[in-house]
Amino acid sequence: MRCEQFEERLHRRLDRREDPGEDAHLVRHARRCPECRETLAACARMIDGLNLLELSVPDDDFSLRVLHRTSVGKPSPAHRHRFRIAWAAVGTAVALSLLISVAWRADRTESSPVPASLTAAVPLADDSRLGADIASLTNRTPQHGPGFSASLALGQQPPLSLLLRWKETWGDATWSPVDGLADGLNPITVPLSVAVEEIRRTIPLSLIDQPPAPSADSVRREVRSDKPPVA
Amino acid sequence: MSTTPRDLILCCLAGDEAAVVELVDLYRDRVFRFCYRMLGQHQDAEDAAQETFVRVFRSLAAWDRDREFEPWLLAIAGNRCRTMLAARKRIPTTGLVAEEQLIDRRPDGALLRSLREEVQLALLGLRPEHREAFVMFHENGLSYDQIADAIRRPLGTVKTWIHKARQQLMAQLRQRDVVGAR
Repeated sequence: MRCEQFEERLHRRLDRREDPGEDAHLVRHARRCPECRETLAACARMIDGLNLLELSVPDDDFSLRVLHRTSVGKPSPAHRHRFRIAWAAVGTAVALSLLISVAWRADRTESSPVPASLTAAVPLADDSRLGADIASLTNRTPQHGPGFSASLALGQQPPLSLLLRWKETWGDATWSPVDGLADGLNPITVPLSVAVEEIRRTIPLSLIDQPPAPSADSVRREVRSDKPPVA
Repeated sequence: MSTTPRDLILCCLAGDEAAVVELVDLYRDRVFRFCYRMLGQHQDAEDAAQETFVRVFRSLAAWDRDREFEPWLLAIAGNRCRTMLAARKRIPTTGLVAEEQLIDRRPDGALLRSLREEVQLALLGLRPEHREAFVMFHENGLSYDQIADAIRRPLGTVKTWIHKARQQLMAQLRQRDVVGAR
């Protein structure tokens, strides 16, 4: 047996947890080879030393200390119950929000045209002429759904379609609140002085330039002056 | 009626505190001894063992039930010990291995005590990963496969580490002239 083989065999026995000192081949080689004899002796001392190592044990209250540390910070059943209720409340709130949001979106997509029952276009029998007049006055194409203009003109609650579509309607920068209410009715966009001048120009001059109504004194004076002198 | 470790673990998972104590009692000596071999100091070993169990119970739900419990437990203990050893390197201490280095040269029983202390000292001179594998094999009785599974290293690496640890231990015993004491 060579020294390399000796070392290999030694480790193989140790791997199998067997005492190398009981292997005849190893012992025979160790007798002839001083180097391997020292290795075998060191191995034996190592095994002895490992067997002699202190079998220390932890303190008696070790398990209780571990239990205490694992229990600290662990919520009690009452705490857990309260947490569960809180989480349930939060979950319900979130679910309701989602539900409302979905319903809102669904309603928006289905809101045009709005059902007639919701548009409040309700000119009654006596108001039929008024309703027709207003309709002719506003002459509005039903861009915002039927009954829109009439209901606004009648001072009633705005229809649901307007409530639901306010954002897309008012969000349009090119649209003005008076657009479509009546032909030729547009918002004043010119400066005030120009507007006043325009008003003055369009109102008949006779109304503006007419002299003020005569006062009672002036009429009396005029009558007196017209009277022929008493002879 | 005997309760197996697996049953105890299931009880622990169900929140049974008595099972926690029982499981700790079952493994505490083995874990403590392993930590003591790794760290060489009673107090440090106790801290590491305690920390090991705390971590084990915190992650018990994540324990793979197909794996054996003890190698997993010792692997966690090994991690704790290596962390503590790394911390020791950062914090210079005095007399760290002093209690192990005080070799009693008294004639009565001095040889045995000396041998034990020499082996303990030689163990502390090993690289931590070599020491961990060596102690798991020689003291805790785990097989190479179990060690490889526990520390998540290839089987060949584990064998190499343990062989190197043995060679270094024997070399140190020869160097310190402990060989001829038998």
